[in-house]
Amino acid sequence: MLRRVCTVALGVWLMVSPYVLHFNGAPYTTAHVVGPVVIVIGVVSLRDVTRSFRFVGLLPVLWLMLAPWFLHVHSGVPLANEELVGIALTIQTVLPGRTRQRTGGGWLALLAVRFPHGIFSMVAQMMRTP
Amino acid sequence: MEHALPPGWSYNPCAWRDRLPLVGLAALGFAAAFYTGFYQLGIVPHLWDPFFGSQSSYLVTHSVVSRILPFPDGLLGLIGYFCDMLFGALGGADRWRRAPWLVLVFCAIITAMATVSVLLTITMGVLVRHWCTVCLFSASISTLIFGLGVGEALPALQYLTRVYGDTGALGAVWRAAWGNGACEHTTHRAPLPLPIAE
Repeated sequence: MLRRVCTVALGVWLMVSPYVLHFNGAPYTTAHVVGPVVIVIGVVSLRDVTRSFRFVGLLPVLWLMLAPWFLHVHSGVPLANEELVGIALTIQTVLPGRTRQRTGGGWLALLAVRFPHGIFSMVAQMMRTP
Repeated sequence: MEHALPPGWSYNPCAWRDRLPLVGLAALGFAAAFYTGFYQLGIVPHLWDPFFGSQSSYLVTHSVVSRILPFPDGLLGLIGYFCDMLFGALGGADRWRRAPWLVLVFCAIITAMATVSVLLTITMGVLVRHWCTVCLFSASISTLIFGLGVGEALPALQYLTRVYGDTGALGAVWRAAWGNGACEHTTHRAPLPLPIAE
């Protein structure tokens, strides 16, 4: 729960950082695109039933960390801001979280029924999805 | 209602305890969209904005993006939140099996509302470059409803998957989705097979 709240807080920080740190241009746009997305993913993964959705957040976070290199951002402040926030979000996403609720096998169970001995059961076992 | 608990679940996401807060949030969002929409129509003369100022709110609510549709986008939010309240309140605590279509329609609506809210928030920052407190409040409400409510789709989908597993017929799944299938696919059934012990 705390980790997801931190994710939302980092998303809010991304949205306000251009005004606090006074930068514009491509980093401004990146922050205002990735910030709301991170907030939504943080809120969605608050509940146990949708906790695994947090991995979807790795895509915008990956863009956040790689964008400075693609968009040739060399200024120190926005670059450091994006990299540090990206690292923090990545750590929060990949660290396993404790779930207290049982959800009948979770989302991957929908596919495990159709393919009981297939790859989806194996992936579910690897991910230990509730 | 113990029989309303989905198999293998430790709680019922369709219970009123989980749904009523979402309906309440949708009512708040409805009020915000009502205020914004009528401001865009000129019926309300002034939009309260303690953080960014009335000029900033005016630029957001009368931007090019807000005029893409033939009617103000605030009224679109009004319709969306009304549907949230309606489909959030319809059906009992076991609607995941008695009326899965209600659950899936509700989840589709809240997903659409959240998507539009995110896009409008991005537009505010990137294109308009001004902000509106009531608009951000409405976007927050949509995001919260989506985040807290979308998980309700899972027991309905698991139920329909069980129907398919039992019958192998998509027609049976279609009938079950509209609540025409019997509930024998759920009562006292083991949860869906998964190698992991919970």
